[in-house]
Amino acid sequence: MVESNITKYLPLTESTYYILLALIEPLHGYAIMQKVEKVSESTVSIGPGTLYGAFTTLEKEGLIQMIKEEYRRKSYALTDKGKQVLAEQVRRLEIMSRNGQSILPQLWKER
Amino acid sequence: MNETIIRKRKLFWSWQDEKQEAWLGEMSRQGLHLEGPGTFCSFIFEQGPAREYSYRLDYGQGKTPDDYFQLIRDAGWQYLGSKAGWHYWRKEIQAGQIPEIFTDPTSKIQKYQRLFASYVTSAPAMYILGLAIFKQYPGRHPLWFIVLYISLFMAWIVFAVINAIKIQLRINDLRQKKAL
Repeated sequence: MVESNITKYLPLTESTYYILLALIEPLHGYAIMQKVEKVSESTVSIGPGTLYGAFTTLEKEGLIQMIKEEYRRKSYALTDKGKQVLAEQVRRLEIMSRNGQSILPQLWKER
Repeated sequence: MNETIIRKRKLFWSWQDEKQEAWLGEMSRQGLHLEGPGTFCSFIFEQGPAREYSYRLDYGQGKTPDDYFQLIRDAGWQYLGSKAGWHYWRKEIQAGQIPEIFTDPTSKIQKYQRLFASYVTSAPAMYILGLAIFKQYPGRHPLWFIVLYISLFMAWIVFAVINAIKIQLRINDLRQKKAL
């Protein structure tokens, strides 16, 4: 049973999911935006205002932490709690994806 | 270079930020590019060749820390100035892709919540300011002074309430978009 202090954040929005995913290595804001654009194959792009707001929220909730500040650029990394949330989200996405894949062949079949 | 500075006055309510953004974009298509917000609902424009710009407004990131400006600049936005808690940004539209500062309903809701909070806190602030003025001039106040003070205070309350309601409606609208 996964603890409720983890599950209360789920499901993550697409933006939050990709921000946490990108922070598997410490990165600053603009680097996150570029990485998300790339790994999501341009399906998700995060505006700088949205990212800034997400930093504030995620840091307050203890899912990420600021690890350094250089030239007015703050770099963040996942906390242990952030890692747990991300892992649980991935597990749920796997189930969702598996379910989706299993019905796909029937989806366009004539009745 | 022969650039002309033009000042235009136009009134927008605080909940009409998107209308303001669209208007600024339209001005740029006519060759008038925002230099920065001016005083008393005015805008300073610089005349030049017509361009396609996306203008975006953000409202008060607290004390507006340096890293906020740095992050948005890093993403290719030009900072045009701030007025009454509003930050003015623009970025050129390329290949029909309209650049956005906010890309999800959550962050847009947060922006309007900051704006909402500013109206909620403004009423007590006005009240305290009024009391301070009364204290400054002890003794009996002329009736016209009291009437003027009370009517100004009431006018501000009405103004703040209208703004707060309009902004709350925007927030509700965005929450509905978020639901599905």
